[in-house]
Amino acid sequence: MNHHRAVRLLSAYLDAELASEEMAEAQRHLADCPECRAELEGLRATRRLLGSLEAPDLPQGFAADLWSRLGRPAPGPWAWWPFWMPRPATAFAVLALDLVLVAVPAIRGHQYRLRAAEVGPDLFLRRAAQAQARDPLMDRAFVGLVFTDANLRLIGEDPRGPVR
Amino acid sequence: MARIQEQERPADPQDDRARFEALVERYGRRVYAMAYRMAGSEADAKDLAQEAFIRVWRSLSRLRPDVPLEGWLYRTVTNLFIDLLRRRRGPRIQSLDEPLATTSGELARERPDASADVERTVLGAIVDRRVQQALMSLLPDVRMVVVLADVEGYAYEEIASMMGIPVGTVKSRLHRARLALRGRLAPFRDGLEGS
Repeated sequence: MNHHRAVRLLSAYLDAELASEEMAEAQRHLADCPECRAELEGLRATRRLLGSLEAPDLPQGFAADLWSRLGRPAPGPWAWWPFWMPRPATAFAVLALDLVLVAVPAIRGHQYRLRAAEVGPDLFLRRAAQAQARDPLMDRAFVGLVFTDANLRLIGEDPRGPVR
Repeated sequence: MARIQEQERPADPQDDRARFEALVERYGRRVYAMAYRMAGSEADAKDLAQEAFIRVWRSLSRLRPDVPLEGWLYRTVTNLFIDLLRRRRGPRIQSLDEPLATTSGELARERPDASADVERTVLGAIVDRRVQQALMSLLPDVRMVVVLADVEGYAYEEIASMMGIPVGTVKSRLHRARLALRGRLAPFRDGLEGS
C-alpha cells in the first residue's frame, strides 16, 4: 500500500471499517511510516475528543412545549386514516342522513293520505289550508296554486290574487 | 429501527400519554444533543427534537414498545435537519462533495490563548463551545456524518442507511471531517491526551 492511499484510509482503519486485507496492509504501512502513525494518533485524539462531549441538558419546559405543540391530549382512533378518505363513521352518518331525508316525507305523505281518507278530501284540504296560513314561511303563491277558491277565501286570501 | 406493529393496539389515551412521556424522558436528551451538534443552535435543536417526537406521537400506535426507538429517532432528526437546510439554503445542500470551504474565516483565525490553562477546561464549557464552532465550520452533510460517527458512535453502515448515502461516501466524508477538525482542535485535543 502506498503512502497516499494509506493516508486516505487512516480514518476507516481507526474505526476498523476496512476489509481484513486492507487492514493488514494499512498495519504494515503504519509500522514503517512514522508520518502516518502521527496522523493516526491525531485522528484518534480528535475522535476521542468528539466522543467525550457531554450531551447538553434539555431546555427548560421542553416537554411542556412539546405538549402544547401537539395541541391535543391523545391521538384519535382515526389518526392513521388518510384525511381525504371517508371514514366508516362519516360514511355511516351520511347514509343515515340520506335515509332520514327520504323517510320523513314518505311517512308524512302516507299519514296525510290516511287522514284525507278518514275525514274526506274537502275537510282535509280546508284544515291543510288553515295550517298553511298560520305558517309565516309558507309561499303564498304555492298556497294559491294548491288550494281551491273556497278554501283560500276561508283563510282570508283573495283567489284573484293580490289587489293591484 | 423500530418495526411497525401489525395488529391494532387497544387505544387508551392515558396509556399513550404515559408511554409517550416515558419515551421523551428516555430519548429526549440524546435526541436534543444530536440535533444541537448538527444544527448548532439551541432553538433549532429544540425545534428538530420536538418535531421528531411529534412524529413519534403520530406513529405511537404502530411502534412496538419492545423495540428501541433510537435509530428511528436519529434517522428522523437527520431527515428533518436535511429538510431544514433545504428550506434555508435552497439547493446548496445538493452539492455534497464540494471541497471543504472556509465557511467561517473567523474560526481559521482563532487561536487559543497561550496563557490559558487548557487542561483545566478540557471537558468544560469552553472546549465544548470550540468543538461546536469547529463542527459548524464543516459543511452540513460532512458534519452530520462526523456527529453520527464520533459523537453518537454509529457504524458506517448505520450512518449510510440513516442518511441514504453509500458507505464509501460516509468513509470519505468522515475522513475529511476529522482532518479538518484535527487542525482546528489541536490544542484541546492535546490537552485531552495529556489529561
